[in-house]
Amino acid sequence: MNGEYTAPTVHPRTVGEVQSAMRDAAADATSLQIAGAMSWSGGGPPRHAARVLSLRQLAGISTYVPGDLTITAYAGTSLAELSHATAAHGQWLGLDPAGERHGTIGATISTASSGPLAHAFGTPRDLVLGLDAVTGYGETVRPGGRVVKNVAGFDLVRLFTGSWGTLGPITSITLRLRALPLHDVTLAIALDEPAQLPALLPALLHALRQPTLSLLACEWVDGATSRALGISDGRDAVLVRVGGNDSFVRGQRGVLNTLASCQPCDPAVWGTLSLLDAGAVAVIRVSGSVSELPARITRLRQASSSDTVRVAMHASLSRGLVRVIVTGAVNPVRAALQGLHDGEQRIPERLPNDWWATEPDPFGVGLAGRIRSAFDPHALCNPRMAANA
Amino acid sequence: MPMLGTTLARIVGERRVLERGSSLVAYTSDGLPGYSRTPSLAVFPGSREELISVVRALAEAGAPFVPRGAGTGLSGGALADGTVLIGLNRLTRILSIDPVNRIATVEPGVVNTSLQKAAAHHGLHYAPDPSSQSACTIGGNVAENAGGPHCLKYGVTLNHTVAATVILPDGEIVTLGAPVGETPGYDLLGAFVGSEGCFGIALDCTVRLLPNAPAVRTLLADFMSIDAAARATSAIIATGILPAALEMMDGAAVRLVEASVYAAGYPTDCEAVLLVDLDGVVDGLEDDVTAVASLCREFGARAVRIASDAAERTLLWQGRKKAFGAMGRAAPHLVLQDAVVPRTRLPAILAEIGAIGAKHGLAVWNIFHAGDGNLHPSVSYDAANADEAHRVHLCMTEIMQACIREGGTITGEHGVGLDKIDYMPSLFDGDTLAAMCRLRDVFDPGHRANRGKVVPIHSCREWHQAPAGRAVGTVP
Repeated sequence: MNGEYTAPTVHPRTVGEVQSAMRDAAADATSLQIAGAMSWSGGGPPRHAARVLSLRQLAGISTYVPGDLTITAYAGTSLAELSHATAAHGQWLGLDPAGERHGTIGATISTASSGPLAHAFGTPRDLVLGLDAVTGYGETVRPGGRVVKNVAGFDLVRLFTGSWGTLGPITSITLRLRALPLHDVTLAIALDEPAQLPALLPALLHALRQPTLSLLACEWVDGATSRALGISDGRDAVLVRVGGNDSFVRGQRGVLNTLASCQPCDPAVWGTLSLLDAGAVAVIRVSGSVSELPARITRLRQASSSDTVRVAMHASLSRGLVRVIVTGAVNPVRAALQGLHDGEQRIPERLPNDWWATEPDPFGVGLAGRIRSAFDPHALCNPRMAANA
Repeated sequence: MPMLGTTLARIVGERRVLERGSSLVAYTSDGLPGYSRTPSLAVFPGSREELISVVRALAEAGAPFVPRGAGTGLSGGALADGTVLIGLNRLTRILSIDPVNRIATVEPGVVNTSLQKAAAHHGLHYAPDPSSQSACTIGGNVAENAGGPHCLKYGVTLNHTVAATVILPDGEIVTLGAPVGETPGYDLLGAFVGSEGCFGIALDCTVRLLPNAPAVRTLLADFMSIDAAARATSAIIATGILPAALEMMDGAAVRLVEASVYAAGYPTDCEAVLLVDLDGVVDGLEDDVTAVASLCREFGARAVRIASDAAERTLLWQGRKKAFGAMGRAAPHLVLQDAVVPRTRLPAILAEIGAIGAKHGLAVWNIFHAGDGNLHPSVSYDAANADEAHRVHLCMTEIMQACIREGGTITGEHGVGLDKIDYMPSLFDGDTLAAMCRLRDVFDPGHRANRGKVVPIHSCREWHQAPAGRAVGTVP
């Protein structure tokens, strides 16, 4: 999942070969960096492994029953391939993480990555029904299943989802699909001036809490992002995605138009938004209560205001989550971005190495540390570079 | 264990510790017939502080325990066999409701409908709605990852739980998840939800609340064969229209309900009914109602009745919600099973369930969450009749095995508990079961919390060597 792949790489093509690779690594205590398509350059903390285990060639859809709205695919299957296969049956996977579409479903689930569609469909924890994984012991575990409701046994599915490969590689994943909406419309609310934002955001947040609005996505973007998306010449905007039958979409547009003027927009903006972080030196998500989102945006905007730093931001209005993308020198805004208010969480996606060294390892201490030891006792999988390395 | 009882009585008061057999009778069973276990004592803390002190006193004594909410579970999960039972039904405070961020924090003993009523003041509701919701507790719902009819659209307890403060069996208090925002690291809350009391006890749970849908439409479609109703279900799901609920009752269950005080006006000469709730914003909803009604007719529905007002809607749902109560009239005991199959397999499995029941000379009723593929095959019987009880056991075992063969699972919302534990090796291989044991060991290395439940003890390898390929030496 990290971009710097300098170690020798093994490319298993079968689950048996993944298991062998894990057992070989365990036998000679060789640390492994678990990798997907190697497309998320710089994603996650720096790894310090003797060997790379790439799952890119363990790919393909193994089971797809459109009538069940479930699909099972090997970890190396690309998001593009999943989209292609499901679209042929009028279905889709409601996950749109940042990054290239040739990124893998294994990496997406391992990192619990999601994007604007999480507004409607939730995050991978809500969408993964089952998975296969090989632990640091070299054993294959197969929790969950192919059904949409399942409480049999302790939930290893949730445990591996978002484990960043630290318990061992996920080899196969079963996902819940949705039917593609009859109509899928993207609208943009471009703000005439920044002063509009303090009034519009609370009104939008209020409207989103009402049952009369039911959107696929609702994302605020700052001026830099808006310009990059071709929506405006540098003014903030709010992107909205509405999906459903004709009456539904018309009704939702009517509700939105009572809040602000909405203009139809090229749906390609979502793809562009997901690639906005290409070349960034730091990407950080700051999340917290939805009610404090306007203040969070204002604070992060002020904090990252610098003549020498290029910052772009976007935020999920329903999740209270702001994603800050820094290009060029990051140090002038580093202290500001490290500051958090009560109840906020900061999750770095990408950072310079010296900054990573100061970040706590969420998989290293307390219950989490004990869980990691229980599945990968010698921390062979995705060992994190020592704090001062 | 009189000394332990004395210790616990010092914490909660003598009246809140039950040690005599007669006073423990109410705690020897849960909602599932056929299992009876007597705890060594039962203790009922009345506050968070008392609960913490009780768990820590048990840790100090090395005493195993079983947490229990309202005892409405259907898997024998809250039964304590000669160990301490911790009753959580006095911890009933709703600690906060935040209507702006749409979350509520509650103590574990808060009854599901109490939270619903409190949320309703804000135009909100808590989505998981198990049939026992007027009695079952949020803590129990979280422990079992409970579902309900409306989980088809809105998700099960896992999807609505955002944080919990948990006391681990050794007395350590941990916070899992976060009320707002993302949390880095493993999804420990996801692992805790549905852990059936084996990972610790929630001191509080924070759950999501949803706004009430502005419009709801309820349809009742009746069919002359179960197969036709099952095929209509699969067809509705495949269109992508996501009903809030899509329930099925077979003809025998319909006739039982209609002969009871819960009669809802279902046609008694049918072989199956589908009860469908469609909800959401008003715009576009009628199109979905029309589409679902057309599909039902296309797949053989004789009639599709659309509730004209809230009163008719309530009446139609009454038949479904009270169906298990109506079954109680048929025989002294009711076994209500819980299994799930992929939704396209519903026609096949329903046919097979009918055949299995006939083979054992039993009438198996089907009242279930068809939209999820979540079956609840049920049999009324007399547990005192050894032959009949044996045939019920064989019948249910064969149904479970059939569901597994169809690519399904052994429980969708009731949990494994005691009742399903023997099926676990049919569903999961040894390595997966062993990994589940290792996860439990992290939360409860002393194996004191609800021991003997969920995963068969022989699957746990912690007392001998780890699996083949265990790492040796140190990492450079």
